[in-house]
Amino acid sequence: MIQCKTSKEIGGMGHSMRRKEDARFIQGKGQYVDDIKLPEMLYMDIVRSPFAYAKITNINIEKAMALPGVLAVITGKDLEQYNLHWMPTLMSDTQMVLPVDTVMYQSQEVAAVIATERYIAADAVELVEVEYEPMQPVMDPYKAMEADAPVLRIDKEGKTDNHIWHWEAGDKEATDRIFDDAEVKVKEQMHIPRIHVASIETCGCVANYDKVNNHLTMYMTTQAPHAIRTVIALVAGHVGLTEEKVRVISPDIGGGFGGKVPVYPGYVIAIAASFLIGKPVKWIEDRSENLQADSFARDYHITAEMAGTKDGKILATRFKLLCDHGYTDAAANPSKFPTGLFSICTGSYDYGHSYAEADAVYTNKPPGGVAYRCSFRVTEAVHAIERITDCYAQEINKDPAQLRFDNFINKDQFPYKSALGWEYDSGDYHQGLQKAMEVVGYDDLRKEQAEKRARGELMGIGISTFTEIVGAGPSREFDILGIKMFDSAEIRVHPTGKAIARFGTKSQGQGHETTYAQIVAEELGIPAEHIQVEEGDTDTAPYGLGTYASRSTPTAGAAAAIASRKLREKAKKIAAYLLEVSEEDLEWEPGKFFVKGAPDKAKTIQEIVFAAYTNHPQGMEAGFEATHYYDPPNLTFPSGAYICVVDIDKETGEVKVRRFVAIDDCGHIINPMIVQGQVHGGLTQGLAPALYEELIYDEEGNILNGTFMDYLVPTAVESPSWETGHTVTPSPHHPIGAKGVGESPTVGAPPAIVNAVVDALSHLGVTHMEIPITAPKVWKILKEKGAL
Amino acid sequence: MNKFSWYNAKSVEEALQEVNATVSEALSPKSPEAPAVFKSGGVDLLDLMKEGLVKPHKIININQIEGLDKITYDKKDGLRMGANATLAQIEAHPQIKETYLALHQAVAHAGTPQLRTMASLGGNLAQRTRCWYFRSIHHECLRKGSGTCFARDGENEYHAIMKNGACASVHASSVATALLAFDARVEIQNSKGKKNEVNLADFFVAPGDDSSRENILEADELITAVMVPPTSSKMRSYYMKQGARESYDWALADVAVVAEMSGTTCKKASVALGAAAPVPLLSKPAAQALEGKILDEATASSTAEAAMKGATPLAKNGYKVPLFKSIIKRTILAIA
Ligand SMILES: Cc1cc2nc3c(=O)[nH]c(=O)nc-3n(C[C@H](O)[C@H](O)[C@H](O)COP(=O)(O)OP(=O)(O)OC[C@H]3O[C@@H](n4cnc5c(N)ncnc54)[C@H](O)[C@@H]3O)c2cc1C
Repeated sequence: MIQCKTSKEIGGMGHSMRRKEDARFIQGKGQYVDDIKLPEMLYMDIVRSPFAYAKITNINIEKAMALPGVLAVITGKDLEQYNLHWMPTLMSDTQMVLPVDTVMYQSQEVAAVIATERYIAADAVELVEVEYEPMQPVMDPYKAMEADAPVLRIDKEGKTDNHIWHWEAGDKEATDRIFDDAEVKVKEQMHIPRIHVASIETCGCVANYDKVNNHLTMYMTTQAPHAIRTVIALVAGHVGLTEEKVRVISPDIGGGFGGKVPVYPGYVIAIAASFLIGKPVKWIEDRSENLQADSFARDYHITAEMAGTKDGKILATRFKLLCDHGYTDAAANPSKFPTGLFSICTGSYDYGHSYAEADAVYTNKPPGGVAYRCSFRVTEAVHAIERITDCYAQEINKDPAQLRFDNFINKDQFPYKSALGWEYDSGDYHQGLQKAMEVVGYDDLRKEQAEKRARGELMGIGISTFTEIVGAGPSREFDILGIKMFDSAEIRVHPTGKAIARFGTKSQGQGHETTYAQIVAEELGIPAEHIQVEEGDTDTAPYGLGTYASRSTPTAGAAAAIASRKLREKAKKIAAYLLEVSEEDLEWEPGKFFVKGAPDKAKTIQEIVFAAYTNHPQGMEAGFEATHYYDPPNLTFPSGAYICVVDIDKETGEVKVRRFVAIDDCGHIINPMIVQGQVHGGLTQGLAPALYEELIYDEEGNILNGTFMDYLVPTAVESPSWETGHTVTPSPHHPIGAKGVGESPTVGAPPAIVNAVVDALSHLGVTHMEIPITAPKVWKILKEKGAL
Repeated sequence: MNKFSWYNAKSVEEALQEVNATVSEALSPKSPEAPAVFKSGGVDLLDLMKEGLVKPHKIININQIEGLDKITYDKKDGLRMGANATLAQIEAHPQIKETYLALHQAVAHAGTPQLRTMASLGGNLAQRTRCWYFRSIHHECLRKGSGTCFARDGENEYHAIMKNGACASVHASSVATALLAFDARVEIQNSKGKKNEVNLADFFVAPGDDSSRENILEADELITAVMVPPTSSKMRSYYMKQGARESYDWALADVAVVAEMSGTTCKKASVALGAAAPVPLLSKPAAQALEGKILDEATASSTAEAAMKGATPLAKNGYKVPLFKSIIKRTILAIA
């Protein structure tokens, strides 16, 4: 049970308070970007390329322009005049806004139509005549790396290959030496396929440029409004849109999952169109555009290796990655981390040596590499380590749970320095796995499995004991385009003791309006119900880098706690003044200061705040507000122990997840109900790539499953009944000991599922299965192993 | 999606005056200048329009024609379902569940509750294939008039394992699988007011005969009803479907078996396979393997073997053969 320090009325940390935002969402009263309608608003629609790689020889806009209601057809040549046809990506690569002469992936933006009605814009798109000269695309990242591969980015002066960057971490020589001498070595090649966040709300914006005041208001679906404002000012400052002239408003967002961090060409074109025409321009993608052209996630080819002793002591790991970024690196990682935080790949285990290296490559696929519900490539890292750990256990014929117990970092080893240099803040991995095994009934399941196996039935148990790395991040290492990755809170308490709190983050379903209010309630004793949380308007909220990578609670949540504590300090001074005692004589309990030994001599926080406006001590600044910009000293390292039980129908090849137990440790819990909701959603999004989702392209670069008909997102029917629980190991450096949880399940679930499937087939000699594990794959492997 | 005009037909006759193309014609080079096509629930039509495959000039809404959604059942005459009956209506019909279990099951496993509420029976039979090359605007495939089937040598894990020589697509209707096993007939009315009845098996057209269409419907013809013969108390039926996903998806394989029993022995049987071939298939070898046999494991296995004997799987869909075998077996054992 979670201990609460505050009463239910105050609703501080640990209370399963109902989400404040749900009242409007449940009643259909959310305000999404597509709900915004401005006077004289125009509509934009985009002409997209049918080819994955082609020269544009001509664009004829005459017929489209002749359609009544069409105001403009914008092409790359038009933008070129303003030097707006290219833009930087968040990874300091470059991306076309609109092409001048070449398209680099299917569904790439080719031209944009601006019209008085959405329907007219769509009709005009069909009237734009584009002549292409198709070229043979490069779809396979390995082929793209070959010496004679056609060079795709000839726009880059002097570019002679398709290589983007090389990255490495760890001591190669020392690691190689351990491998050379090791008793046991295992190696597996794995692909983490290209998938899509597929949020319910697609991307879109309303760009409203006011010519008279030279001011742009940009309503858009962004997880990072402040960063976008700065990017707009950097890209368009030269045409007069300097940062004070730009206001970005991110209204309610229908799911982000990392897909709403990047800047998409559509946003920039809409701004350009509004700027040139002087009227508001709305652009909303449809589902296929979203799935086919917006940033993808994953697409890492990984070779993972583990070295160890015969009796199961892990000694070293090695990882080699090939990262397919499509035609540009449009990931959204911190600047210094091209592979994100992949170097968490050493996992939850205590061993001394690891080496990881990566090469990124251009292909004719859509750009991206966003962190889909994952703190920057942690899903890839966890998949690699949790899979290869199982391979090792299988190789030496040891129970995978026991192998993990034998190699876990001990709770008294924290803070723990990993072989690739991270300082894990805290954890108790033994306790987590112990608990998960008890809940699932591990020993009984193993017995059941043995019986079933004897009868020829296929059942498997899979474990994943992962360590996450979230809350980017400390300014000494973490920035995006140079902006440090702190985050912020500003709390303003009104005379009657009710407050508004504003943040640099932006909720997309995480429930910030509730959880932030609970943090402030915990610290100040003002009921959470009376704390209004506001985010997403750059004119009012303090600067922050936004919500992704499970960073909101670790950064802005911490800022809320510290800003509240600043206010409590002020409250203490006022209370001492009102009670005519010295500050040292006062004691705090949630909601009031009282005189030590005389509990009736007290002032409630409401009385104190009222005094701050009506009767404050002379010489003290009036009012009751505080701001804090929180620069975390370290990242936080949530962890989890997941156990999955699968049954495989030998005849149909169908994999059924019978049970899934997820024990998460995210430190102190702010709202157990919200954590549970986050875990349920995340597990389903972990089930998705494990069993269903993958974007498939043919050799010509055509996407074969670019709609929800063929891109299989699991529904409630496919999801098992998730069994969740937690252990609590607070983060020692975080003001409220919280760690962030939104992404743990997405990261931890896939390897648990794969490990379970491989476990079910291990007696046949199966050591690995690539995700998504579909019926055809199961059947193929059963056939290969002679089990049919 | 293109602009179109909307016509609310009040009667079958009126609808037939307005129409000038089937959807299959409208998306082929044979399309008339300004195609006017039928829409019932619109589930498939809207999809084809969103994908840019058909651009009707006029949509003739037949959904409000009075009485066209009527379902009647009579022990003697059997079942008659109006073309506009929705899958939800069929699913909820108590006598269908009692008398034609496999049909009930097929309908109940199609799509999702939301889709079944929209989807009509007529539209279900006339829906186009889900082959992803056919559905891609970027592929000029055999069925769209080009002469090449991309699936035969391409990504064909969801494709046909039988009769796939010309085109490897599979028919999308899983409702047809059950109807076929029950020997259903389709009533079609033309613009001259003539009503015609055909066996459902003759309603579908194999790509080898004409790759541009999947059924015999001509531009000026409308399905008005589907009739299923009466059953006897000795008849049993069962239907099973396997998809890549449990909900919201078409079948990878589906099977309907109708058997007339005498004690534990099967007197007469019909076995229909969906998602096996470009048209829903009645498997004669399977029926023969069942007839005169006691329905047990051995019969179920030999029937499954017989049904799959002539299978010609492609590079990536070999798994569908054992998949069919296993669900054929299970369906038979469910009846036994
Ligand atoms: C996600 C999803 C999953 C699905 N899963 C399944 C499944 O598992 N099994 C299955 O069988 N189906 C499935 N479907 C298909 C769905 O059942 C059909 O699209 C639907 O039944 C079509 O009926 P409708 O009334 O909406 O047809 P419409 O879209 O209105 O029409 C479809 C076609 O039929 C023509 N038409 C309609 N009525 C008549 C008539 N009376 N006479 C002549 N022509 C007519 C139209 O002109 C058009 O060409 C699925 C669909 C979706 C979207």
